Amino acid sequence: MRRLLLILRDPGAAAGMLWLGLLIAAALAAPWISPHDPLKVDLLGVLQPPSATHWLGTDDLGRDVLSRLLHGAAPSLFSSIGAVALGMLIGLPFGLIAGYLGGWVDAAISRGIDALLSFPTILLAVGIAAVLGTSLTNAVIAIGIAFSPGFARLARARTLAVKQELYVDAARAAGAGAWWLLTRHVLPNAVTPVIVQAGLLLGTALLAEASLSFLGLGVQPPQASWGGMLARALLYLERAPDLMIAPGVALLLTALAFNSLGETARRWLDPR
Amino acid sequence: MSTAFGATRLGRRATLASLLAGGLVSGAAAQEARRGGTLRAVIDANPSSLDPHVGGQGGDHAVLSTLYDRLVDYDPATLAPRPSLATAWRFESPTQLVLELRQGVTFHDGETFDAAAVKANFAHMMTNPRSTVRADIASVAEVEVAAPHVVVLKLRQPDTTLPMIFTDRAGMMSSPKALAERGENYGRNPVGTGAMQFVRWTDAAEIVVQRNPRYWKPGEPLLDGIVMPIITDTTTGLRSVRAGQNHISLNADAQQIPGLRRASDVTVSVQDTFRLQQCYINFSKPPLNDIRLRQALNFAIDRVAYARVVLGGVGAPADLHVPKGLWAYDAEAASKYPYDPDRAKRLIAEAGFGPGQLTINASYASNQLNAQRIEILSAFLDRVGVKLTSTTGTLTATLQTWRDGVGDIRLANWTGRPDPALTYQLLLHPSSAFNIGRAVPSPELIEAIAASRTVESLDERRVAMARVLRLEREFALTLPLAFEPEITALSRRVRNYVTNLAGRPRFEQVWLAA
Repeated sequence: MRRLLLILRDPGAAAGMLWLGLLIAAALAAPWISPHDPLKVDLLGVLQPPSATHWLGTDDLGRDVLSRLLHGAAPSLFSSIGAVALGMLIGLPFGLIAGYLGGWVDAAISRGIDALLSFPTILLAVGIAAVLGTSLTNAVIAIGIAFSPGFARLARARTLAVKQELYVDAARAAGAGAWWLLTRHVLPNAVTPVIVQAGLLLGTALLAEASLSFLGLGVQPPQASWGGMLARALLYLERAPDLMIAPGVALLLTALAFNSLGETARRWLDPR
Repeated sequence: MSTAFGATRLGRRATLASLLAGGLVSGAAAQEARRGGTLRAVIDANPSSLDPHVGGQGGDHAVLSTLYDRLVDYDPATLAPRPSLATAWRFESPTQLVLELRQGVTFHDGETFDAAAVKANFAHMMTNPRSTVRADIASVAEVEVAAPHVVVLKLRQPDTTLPMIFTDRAGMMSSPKALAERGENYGRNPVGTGAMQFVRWTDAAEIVVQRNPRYWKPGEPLLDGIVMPIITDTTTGLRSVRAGQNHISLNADAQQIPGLRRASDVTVSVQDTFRLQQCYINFSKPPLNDIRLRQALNFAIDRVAYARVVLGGVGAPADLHVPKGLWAYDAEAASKYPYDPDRAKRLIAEAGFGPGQLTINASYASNQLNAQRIEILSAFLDRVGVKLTSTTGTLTATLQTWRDGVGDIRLANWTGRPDPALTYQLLLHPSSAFNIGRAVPSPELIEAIAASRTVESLDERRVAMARVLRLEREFALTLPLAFEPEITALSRRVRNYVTNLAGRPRFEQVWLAA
């Protein structure tokens, strides 16, 4: 409790939490709190500046920017959480097995990890998304796969350290099987840095999803997404540069908030 | 300001620009032309080949037009044919076309341009396994040298579109000696009769050409040479013109015009072309094998609003594949489908679909421009109770699945052909790859297209083409949307840049002010 209070006293962390809280609430309530239908096209009212009717103006097809921003929050938030969770789900077991078993299993898994890590994360995600086909689910899968080697390597490194510990030897001496050792002794002690890494990667995942939608590989039109809104705004950079601002600021603040969340998790879980 | 057709406009700042000889000319016409200087014209793609009969990319034309003359040239504003390497042509019988060739023309390698050279070029087009123009000249059975400067084309069936076909790739003549000697490498080392001769091509970097000292047109070219830097991102290309590094940047996007107009040292040329944004329709399978549903789609789209949003106030809505300025334009065919959502709804109901029951799947290559177009179409179709779903991915992937029968419509441009009869032949004939389901759209229409290629005078052809256009609209076999303009950014030093309805950039009359 004392640690939580300490963290909340940090203005950056508190602001990050507040923003994320608001955003999750807004994403869930978007269908009820949006002032307009985010898909409603009005070709007579395109590229309007902010007004009492359209607080953030209208886009290239006359759709309300605020409503699209609110509706775009859910895919952005939940896809980044989903992608990181998937990355952990794939990476963690491989890392644990490689670290625990060692030998040729470790060598095989580690070479696989090295191969995947040799690609820049976004490029790998773009490649996977292009193969899987264009949809939000596939974008999440692509980013998750692209993140998994990072998790695997981290988990492997921790496992290598933890399995040398005396209590693991003691458990093994007491007759514990590999499964028991892995799940009861190694995993709980190896998972902390992975969780911290997950918190820090949420921001990257958010931007990765935005990048894929920006490239047309993520959320498909006419559904709203922040990356898609940015991509469209780029077409109108000369005519309506303000279209960039709303999705850009939303992405920036959310990425910052996720980063501060990761940082907070690190301080929360790190006993030092 | 008179216009080439429809809504040709120049940039607000391009007040110096004027129209000469029907074509759109940019630069001060009153000033005397200056000889010399090297033009730097940015192109946005590495050419597919500089052999005109082998390449197949629209962007190649900017380079090809400097190196090659065509057998037949065209008026830039109306595309009416006019003499070039062929000084005259006549159909001696419906299946015999005689071309009289210009004398005193030599290729860049010193070879003489004559009937034998033309025959060799036809052999290259008809027999080269990589030829991309074989379909264009499919009606030519045999080429005969009748005199040193007269060739006779013997045709399989009457085909009066040939003179117009010779204004395009098929009319560009290469040196037979170079073709024979260089073989497959000819496309990297081309030899034509054009105003400029080839110097070098550095892949994805630049193409350099220089003045042809033996050029047959007196006084041309004015430029010493042209450097064509290859910059695939048009925004970067435009910036290089604004920065003074280059003189011309081709293929700007309509949404980039406001920024260009703000730049004080750049003028913008906007020329309407016959390049068409449209949806292909797979009329071979349900639901769009039902004529009522195809007609409903055509009634459901407000093309004026579509063009206004997509092309930002330039370009023109398209009711046909033929733009207003072209000789074949037919007002009756063009007026067939005004925006009428109520009629669309009635037709859909007649076809047995209640509101929300009809779903159309659109295939398109994933990019923001296409996404925007699909969103607009989706909004209009929604108003008549039709749900639009999409199949999207890379250009290659979606083209493949479209060919495999995925999708009811496909959003993609039609680059246009100099002769509209060829456009309809390629789009609708069951033997053409563009007719995706290979279904016969209507025997009467197929017959009308063939008939339009048997008459010769422009008046007769206009009547014959009107029948084709009206039948195509009657059966609503495509969904035309808007004609894309050719948007070019020009440094203020560039004078006499003449654009054309074909949307093919040509630099032969350009000169640079001091």
